[in-house]
Amino acid sequence: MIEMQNARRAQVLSGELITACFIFSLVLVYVFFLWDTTTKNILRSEILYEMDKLGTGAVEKLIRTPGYPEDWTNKLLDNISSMGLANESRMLDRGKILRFINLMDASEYDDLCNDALISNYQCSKHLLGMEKYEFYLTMTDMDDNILNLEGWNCSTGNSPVDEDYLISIPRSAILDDEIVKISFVVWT
Amino acid sequence: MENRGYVLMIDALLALVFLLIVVTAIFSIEYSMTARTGVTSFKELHYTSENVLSVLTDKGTLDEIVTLWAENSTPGSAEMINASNLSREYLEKMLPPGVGYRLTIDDEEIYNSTLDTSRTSESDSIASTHSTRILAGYGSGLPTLAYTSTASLGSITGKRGSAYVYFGGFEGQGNITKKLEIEPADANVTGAYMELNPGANFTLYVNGEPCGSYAGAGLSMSASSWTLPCKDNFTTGWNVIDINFTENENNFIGGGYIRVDYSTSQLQDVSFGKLYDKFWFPGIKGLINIYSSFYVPGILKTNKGMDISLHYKHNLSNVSIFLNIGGYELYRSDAIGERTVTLSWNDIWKIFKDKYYGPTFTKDNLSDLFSRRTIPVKFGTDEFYIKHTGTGSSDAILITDVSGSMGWGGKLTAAKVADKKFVNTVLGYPGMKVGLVSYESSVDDTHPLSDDNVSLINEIDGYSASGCTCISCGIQEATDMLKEPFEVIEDGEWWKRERYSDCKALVVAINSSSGNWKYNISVDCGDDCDPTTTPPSCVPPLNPTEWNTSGFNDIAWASVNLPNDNDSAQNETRYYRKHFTLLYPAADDGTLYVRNKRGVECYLNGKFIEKDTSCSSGTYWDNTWTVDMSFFNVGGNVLACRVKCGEGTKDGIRFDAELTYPSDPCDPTTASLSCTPAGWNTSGFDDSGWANVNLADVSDNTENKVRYYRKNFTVDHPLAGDGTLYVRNKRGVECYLNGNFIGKDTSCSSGTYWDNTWTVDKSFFNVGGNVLACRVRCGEGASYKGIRFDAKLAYNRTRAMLVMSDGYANKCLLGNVCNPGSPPNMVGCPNSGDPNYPAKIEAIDRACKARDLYDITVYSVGFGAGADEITLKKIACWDCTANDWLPGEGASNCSRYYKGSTADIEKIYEDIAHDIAAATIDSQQINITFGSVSLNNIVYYNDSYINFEYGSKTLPALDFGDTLLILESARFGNVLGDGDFFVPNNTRPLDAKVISYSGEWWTDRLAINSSETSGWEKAYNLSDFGYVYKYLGDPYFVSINQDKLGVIDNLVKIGTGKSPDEGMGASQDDKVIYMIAMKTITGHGEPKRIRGGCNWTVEFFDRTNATFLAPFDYTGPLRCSYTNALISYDEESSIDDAVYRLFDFLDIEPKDGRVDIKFNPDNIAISTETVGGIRSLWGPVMVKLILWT
Repeated sequence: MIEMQNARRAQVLSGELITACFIFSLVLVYVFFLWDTTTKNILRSEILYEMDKLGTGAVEKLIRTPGYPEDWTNKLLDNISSMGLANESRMLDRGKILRFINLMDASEYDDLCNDALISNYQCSKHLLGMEKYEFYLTMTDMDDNILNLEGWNCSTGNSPVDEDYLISIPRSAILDDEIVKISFVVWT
Repeated sequence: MENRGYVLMIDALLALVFLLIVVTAIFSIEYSMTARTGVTSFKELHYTSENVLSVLTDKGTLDEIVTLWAENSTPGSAEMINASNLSREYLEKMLPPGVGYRLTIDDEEIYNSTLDTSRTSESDSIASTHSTRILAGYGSGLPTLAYTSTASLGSITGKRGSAYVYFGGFEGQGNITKKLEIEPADANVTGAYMELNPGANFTLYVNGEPCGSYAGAGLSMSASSWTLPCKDNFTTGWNVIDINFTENENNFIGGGYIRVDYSTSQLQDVSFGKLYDKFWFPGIKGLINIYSSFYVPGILKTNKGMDISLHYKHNLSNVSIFLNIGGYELYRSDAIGERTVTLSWNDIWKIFKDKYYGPTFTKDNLSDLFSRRTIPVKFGTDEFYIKHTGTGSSDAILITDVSGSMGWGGKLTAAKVADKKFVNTVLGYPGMKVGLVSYESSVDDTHPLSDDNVSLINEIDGYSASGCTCISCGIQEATDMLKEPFEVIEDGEWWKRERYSDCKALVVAINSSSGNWKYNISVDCGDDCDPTTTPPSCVPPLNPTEWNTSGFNDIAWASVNLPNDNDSAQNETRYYRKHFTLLYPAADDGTLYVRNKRGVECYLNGKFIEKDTSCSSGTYWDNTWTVDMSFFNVGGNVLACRVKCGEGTKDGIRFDAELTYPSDPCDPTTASLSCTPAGWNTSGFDDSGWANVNLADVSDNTENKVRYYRKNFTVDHPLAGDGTLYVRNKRGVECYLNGNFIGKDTSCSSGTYWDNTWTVDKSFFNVGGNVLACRVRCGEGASYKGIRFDAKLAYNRTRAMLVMSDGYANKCLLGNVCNPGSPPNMVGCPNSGDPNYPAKIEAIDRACKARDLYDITVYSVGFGAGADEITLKKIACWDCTANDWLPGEGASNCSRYYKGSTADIEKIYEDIAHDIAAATIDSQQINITFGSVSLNNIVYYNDSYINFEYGSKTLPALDFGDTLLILESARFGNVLGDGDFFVPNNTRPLDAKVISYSGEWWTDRLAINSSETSGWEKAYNLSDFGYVYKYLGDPYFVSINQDKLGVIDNLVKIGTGKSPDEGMGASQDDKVIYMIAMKTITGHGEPKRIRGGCNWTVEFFDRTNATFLAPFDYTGPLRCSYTNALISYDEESSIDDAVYRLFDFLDIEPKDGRVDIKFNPDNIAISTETVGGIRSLWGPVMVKLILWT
């Protein structure tokens, strides 16, 4: 009676153990897969959320404010609190646009940050609150043709290359009584 | 095994639970973190919609879209299609791909992207948002561009203006020349008007050409007015007006003005706002005697505020010419020949500094004295006695000392001569009375007030000297003689009387069998006699809560005459209403008599009287009910009764009623109309047919009578104070003087002398004929019957006494011996108990009482070297209450004390006599019959002036678009000086001149109560410049500073007087000439759909009409009207609206549809300025952009 009981117990244990381990392994693999996928999604969402938040703030600042001080185009970074391209909300100023577009070209303008180690683009990112991400701004007419102001194409910033994340924030505004479309791309 | 199976199942379940927990936790974390991306998407969508809508708004695209919609919002219309295309054109390019959208205006869809397959369909949307914009100035189907216009009276070719030249309060005496300037160079004279109080007949010349002859009226407080026939003689610039009198006396103008009306193209008056002005003296060929005034509207400049130029010829020896401005004599000279006198500002200042105020007086002080005030100006002579021009009303007692000392040195003889002179001089003025008192140790003799100089002189001749000197005895006796008022009607005189009988107290308000009852019938009302049970089944069902009220509308009911009988009526309810009017309130409960065959209930003015629900007989009278007196109304009343019958023995209607009530048996005002002759209390009533009856009229047993009494009497001088009416009336009485209510007594009193004493306002008295009218009423029965009537009317005349003494008062009123003390150390009067109250103090005290209690003016004369001058001065000039000299008086300048000797006492008495007479008949006219003055002896040239220069600080100013309008108020029409003038709300008062015909007196006070004052405020007081008016000017007009002038009603009260304490009322012809600034330009009005235009008819204040086109080139058919009968215009037309608003401006309140500026449409252009292309004020509308993904 005792033997029979032991023999039967061994059989049960081995079969059940194998099955249990198998099931457990499947569950474990699934959980790990799920966790990895989820954390990636979360990370992506966090980044996109932050990019959108910062990008929206930056582009709204650009098209709806004159900047501070209003004549920031004549100032160095230390004396600029904010950059804006408008005279009135959504009424853009040609001079400010040109200044903003050409900031990346140190040869055209003075060194904004007055520091040879820091590019004007970096300075601009700082003023726009975009230190963590890259941005690229383009202005087009209603038919999506890039605007050309005084020989300068209205695009500036760092064009996306091998980006991991990218969002585009479209806006419109008025320049010289014409509606212009603005695309503000944030990427990393 | 079974157990193991269970274990396995439990393990599996645990594992499954664990697994679910882990999975759930992971997904939860993921969801919570990634959900924010959804929020981000929505936010970005909303940012996009806001951005697009804002840009479209800024670009103006949204306005274009809404404009198209506003022009025609009908779906499928060309405008809506264009709006839709325009919307899509922009939105397609501005919105990111895939984003669906819809644009609406006031929820009307303009475009929807649903049909665009490249964009998300709205039904498939997972996120949606919208942005809105509010746009004003749009409305569905309404224009978006409008017109607005202004209208003005600018650029006109004609406007009415007026030039005035004013006469002073008195200008004479001789032919007068005035200058009048018509300033606008293009003035076209349209009329001329003259309003004067001329003393005598005269011929008027304008610029040397005759302009009619006019009748004089003597010096009075009234004016005559004429429209001058010679308007064409007036020219622009200066005009010379000559008034040449055709008689030798009364050559003066007692106030007035000449006005020349003209039209001009100058909207603004040339001289308004100027900083200088000139007061031009009149030219006078005769005796210079000018009482006038000037007004400086601004603050006089301190470096050159005023200068004076006088040019006259004077050929009278020992007669001085003087100029008094504001109570200050600036010039006096008796130099003979033609004189030109110039007083510069500096000269005037030096006079003030040296003569009046001392070295600290500055030019600023001088400027303050004359700035912004009406300043009286007197230029003439004071060397002549004042001449009476009317009848005096003074009583004077001449108190003569006939003590023993008067027998020495011929003093009594000289006193008698002087007394006679006094009597004759005073009585030389009609209406005056003189009484005599002679005193020594007591009153020696008296003569009552009389105008019989023979009797008075006989009394004087009987004077003889003896005894002590009781001055107080003389004063006390004179006071007793003067204190009784003058009785213009004495008791027991003959009156006119009319009697009316049957004026019983019981009044039948509704007679039996009377007609004109209103009634209505309801049928099927049940088989009973109780009117209160009227069931709802009644046809018609009358409202039981209203049929009995006075306000119930029974106009549709039939009329019926009572009695109203129908013996076969069954189950009916009949309603009866009788309207009647009561003139007087019920004195007690009334009585209602009712004939009712069946049931009845009655109400008076909705108040329940009584009911009878029995089925009675229908006889006179089935019921007699008491009606509470409070139910009766004075005026309209309604007695309402409801009658009810049933069937069989309860059938039939018989109804009649009578209502009576008692009126007050002793209230004369409740006398029935049949006992009231119309107009019985007015002065114009014809009482020639009335009986003559001597009062007291006694009829102790007469009942229910009303008696009317009228008494004619004359008053020959304006009263100085109110009168008193004494009435004896056994029953009720009411009295009127010249139609003015004095008082009434409705009690049933005793009939004694006097039951009533009433004050009669002095303004009720006429100078000339007067009628006192009284109505007496009695009732019946011992308590009410009987008439006893008598009356006495009295008033106080101006009173004065002259106290003469040659020594010290040494005898008191009480006691029999002369005071043993030696003058001046007298001991106290007997019984006074005060050693410091000797006879002289008693005399002063009695004089104070005479003055304080009875308003008696006390003069005193110290005769000879032995007179107690200080006591006599105090008798004349001491204020016992204040224990000081009266204001303006003193020991060295007591104005009513004279010191005389036998050589000059006669002259002194004559002077005093004139002065006393002048107290009531003081005139601004100089008596040229005294002395040897002829009209050619003095000439005053009309180039004399007072020139002012002042700053602009306080000057009224005109605003842009203002024009001046000079208005004249209605004549005040009363002798109290109460008047008002109206300044419309949309105007500003600039200046007001209250003109006053002061007659013989001086315009001496003006008060104003307006929206700019705190109640009544003083605007002018002549006594501010001096107490003795005869040396002051008399303003014909008194100006009111602009800061006291308000809008709407300005109340003024002007008065005249002969001294600060003696007001003399005012003229009924007084009025106000005032200047207002009126806007003649309207602002832009509300935007209108069309520019418009019209052929206007406008009505002016004088009820004439004119028509004109606005704009002037309007050729359309439309007609507009601004008239009293009709105000109509196209409210959607901007020009019509502007013209209407202009007329509304010019129609000053009360707005009656008549424009208050009259203009000639041929000479005036209504200019309109129209501005197109402005946003109208419709809307707003809501534009909504809906986006979805």
